[in-house]
Amino acid sequence: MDRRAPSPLVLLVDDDELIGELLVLALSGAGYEVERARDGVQALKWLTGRQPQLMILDLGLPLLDGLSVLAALQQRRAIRGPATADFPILVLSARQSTEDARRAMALGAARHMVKPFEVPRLLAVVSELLDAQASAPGCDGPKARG
Amino acid sequence: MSQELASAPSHRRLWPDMGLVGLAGLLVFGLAYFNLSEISTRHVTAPLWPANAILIAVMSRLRPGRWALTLGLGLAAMVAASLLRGTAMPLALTLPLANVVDALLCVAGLRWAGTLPPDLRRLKDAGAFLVFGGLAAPLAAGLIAATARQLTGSGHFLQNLFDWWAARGLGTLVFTPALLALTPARLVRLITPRRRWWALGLATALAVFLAAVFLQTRYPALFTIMPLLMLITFYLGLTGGALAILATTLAALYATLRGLGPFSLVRGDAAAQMTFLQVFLLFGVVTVVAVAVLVEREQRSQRERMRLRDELIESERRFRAWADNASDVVAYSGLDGAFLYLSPSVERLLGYTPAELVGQSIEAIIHPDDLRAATRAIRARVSAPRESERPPVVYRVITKTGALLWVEARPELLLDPESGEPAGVSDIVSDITARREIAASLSAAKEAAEAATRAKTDFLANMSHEIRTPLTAILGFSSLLENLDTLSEEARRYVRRIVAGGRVLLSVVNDILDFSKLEAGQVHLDPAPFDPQEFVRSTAELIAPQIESKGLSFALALSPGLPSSLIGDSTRLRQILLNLLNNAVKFTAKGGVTLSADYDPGSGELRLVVADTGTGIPSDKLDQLFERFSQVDGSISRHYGGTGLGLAICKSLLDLMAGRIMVASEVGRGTRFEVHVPAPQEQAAAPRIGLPPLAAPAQEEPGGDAPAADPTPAEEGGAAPVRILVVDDVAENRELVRLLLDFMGHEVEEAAGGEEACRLAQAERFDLILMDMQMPRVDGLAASRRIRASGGPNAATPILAFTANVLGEQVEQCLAAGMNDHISKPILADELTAKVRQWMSPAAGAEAAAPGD
Repeated sequence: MDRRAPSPLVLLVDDDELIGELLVLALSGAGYEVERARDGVQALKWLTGRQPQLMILDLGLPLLDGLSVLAALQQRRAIRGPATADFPILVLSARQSTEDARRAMALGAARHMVKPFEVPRLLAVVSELLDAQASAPGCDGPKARG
Repeated sequence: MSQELASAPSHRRLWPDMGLVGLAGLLVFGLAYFNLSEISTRHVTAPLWPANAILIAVMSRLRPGRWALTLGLGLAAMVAASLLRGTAMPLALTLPLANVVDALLCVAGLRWAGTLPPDLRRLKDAGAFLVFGGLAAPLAAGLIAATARQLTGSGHFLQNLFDWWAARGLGTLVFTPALLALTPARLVRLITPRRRWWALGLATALAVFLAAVFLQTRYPALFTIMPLLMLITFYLGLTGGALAILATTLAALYATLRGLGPFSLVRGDAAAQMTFLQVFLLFGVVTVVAVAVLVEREQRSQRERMRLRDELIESERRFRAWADNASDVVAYSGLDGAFLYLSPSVERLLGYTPAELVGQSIEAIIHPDDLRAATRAIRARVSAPRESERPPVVYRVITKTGALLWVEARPELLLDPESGEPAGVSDIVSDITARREIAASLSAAKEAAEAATRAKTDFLANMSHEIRTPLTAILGFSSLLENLDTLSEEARRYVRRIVAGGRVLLSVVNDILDFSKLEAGQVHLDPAPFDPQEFVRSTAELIAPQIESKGLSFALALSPGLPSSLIGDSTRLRQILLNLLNNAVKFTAKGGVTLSADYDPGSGELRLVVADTGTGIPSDKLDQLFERFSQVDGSISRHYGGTGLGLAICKSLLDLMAGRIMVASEVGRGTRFEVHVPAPQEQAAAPRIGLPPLAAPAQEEPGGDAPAADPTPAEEGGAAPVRILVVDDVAENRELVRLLLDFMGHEVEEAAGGEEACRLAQAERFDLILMDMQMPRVDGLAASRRIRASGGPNAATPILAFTANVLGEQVEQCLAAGMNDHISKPILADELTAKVRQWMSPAAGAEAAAPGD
């Protein structure tokens, strides 16, 4: 695994304590710094002040669901400029629904994964997204490799 | 036609024909000899020449091929008779020749008229017979004979002509019918038990009359013969009449030649008497034939009437049997709608007897609510062409006891057979009450079953969601645990078991959910372009670890003909392929698995083949392989695990894709699954639709390829921050909306109620006002009305309502109060941003300026 300095900051948005703990363990074990939000409102509040290098977003969230968070971020980029929300977003969902995935991607998610996920695979995807972000020039919004 | 009938048998019967011809020759000779000796001694010519009639009668029964023989023999007989009688040579040849010509012309004429042999009971045949036999042929023969005599200088030409004509014509007319009638079949008909006594009585009467008329010379009672001839013809037919005229002729000739009978009273010479006799006979023949024609006509029409009556009786009997015993009601009504006939079954159906309803119309029994529609439907049905699709008419009827029944009627217009005009309506009415009840309960049962299926699927979807989350934790933590450095080897083995078990559990959940969705028709395909090579390779990679761990070989065969891009639901296709590969690995202990892919450009099908060298499937189990919960052997699920749903899912998915799955297997040798799935090649110019495969990295920020449901993302043109007034009495709601709008970059003012909102709206201008509907004191509607009415800076500002009730009524109230749109609660950022964007576009301003248009 590619070691960066300082450790990339990952914002994890998931209301499930078990999965939250699992991901915190896994991600920090892999060398990332992890911050947690437990619902959409918390996530937006956190994002108001700063930006992570990457966000892992569960779709089924209380108060404000994951798709709403994505929509708000998209609108923020539109109004305030791409640099105000310039990080890749990995969406997790427990529903095997292509419709959810489609909407998430349309709202700017970089990748969609269905729960349950394999921890190593998730870590690989995270690393991949960060690499893509790092190699992308400037602040041109979340960038993916064609 | 008639000559064919006559000739066909005669062709076969050569010897009987020869016998007939020989007999004719003998008779002709005898008659000619007699004629010449008895008659010609006293007269210049014979008054009656029956020899020709013999030839005509015989030729009528023979085919034309035999006529020459007959005529030749007849000619020879007559020449011989003439010579024996001492007639000089030229005449002894020419006069018989004239006779033969007479016979030939007569037969040929009849044949030409299509009336050979003649049935004199038919007017046409009788007419032809009179014309040819009585007129034309003898006239021609007379010309020959008179000319011959003229040349030899014997007698007056016209006298000769007339005598010849009368003798030959009359001979034919008198004798031919009798000769034709003299067949065994016809004679037998005279002595049938019914006619026997009549025949005997009339024959006796004729004998008595003939004796009385011709054996005395005092009283010319000739007139009495005519009615008797008519009577005989009337009762005994043409056969009897012909025989009677023959007898009369012989009696008259005999008497007259002996100077007896009424003709002897004729003043003048013997020739004059003979002429009168000939006239009498001519009228006799005409009378007999005329009566025969009339009788035949009468009999024929009577036979026709009888036949019609019999048919009518039979059809009436059949119809009655059917109508009276039918469980359906058969009805006729006139054009006025009044019933003329109802089958007895109406009593079983309605409780009324047919008599009670005859004269009434359908109004007496139909449910009043159905009358108008049924009348219209009946009219439409009877006026539509019969070949067209005409639905039966369904309506309710009320029985005598007041019960309600559903019936199905099939009315048809009855046309008058003579004029073709509508004459009434026939109807067949069946009771469909029970059928309707069954149909109704069936459809209710079907709906219930469908609802149950939906409920089950929804339940399973929720359950699956609930199971997935803890399963994520189980698998995730196990995976962390497994990689812990401090873990003992034994513990690590146990953890792996936990992971394996978790994975099986997951696949079970997925299978059940998938199958349930397929069953409920909730699976929709998502076709998108994909690279088939990449698809097959990446799928094979997923199975590679399992193949490796079992020590099996693996071969991948990709056809060079695979296109670079196909359109299909690759996610679902991968699911199918993985399922087949998993099965192959699962049931193969040694050997290997082969995966090959090919494309058939003709049918546009992608063909995938998964072959293994595993246990195989007995041929008798192949059929049920794709049924749900079917595994070849119950013990397999215990040994290998699995829900038994995998192949059923594959089959259902392929059905959905209009594809096919085929299997071939041999126990102990292996199994081969082949999948054909339609996958059109991507057109180079076609725009990419849907999403890229989920496993692939996302594309650029979605622009033109966003699904239609989503409004065009704002990035396109950039969006401007706006000033928004958020009005809600619940602080949390306000806060959430503010957070969202703030976060997006808008400027937000808050008002905690209607009054505050009005005050703020009066003080400064906003770009947009978001207002809750239900608020204490001044609610959203009232506040909106005030803002609109105030004429202040926000009189034209778009106002959007927050409402939990998006049903028509409340939305209408909003619009009526001057609001422009609504946003549903609970608030979703999606909808909020879309509505904000929508109302902040330049076009929206003009719309808002004229609210509640």
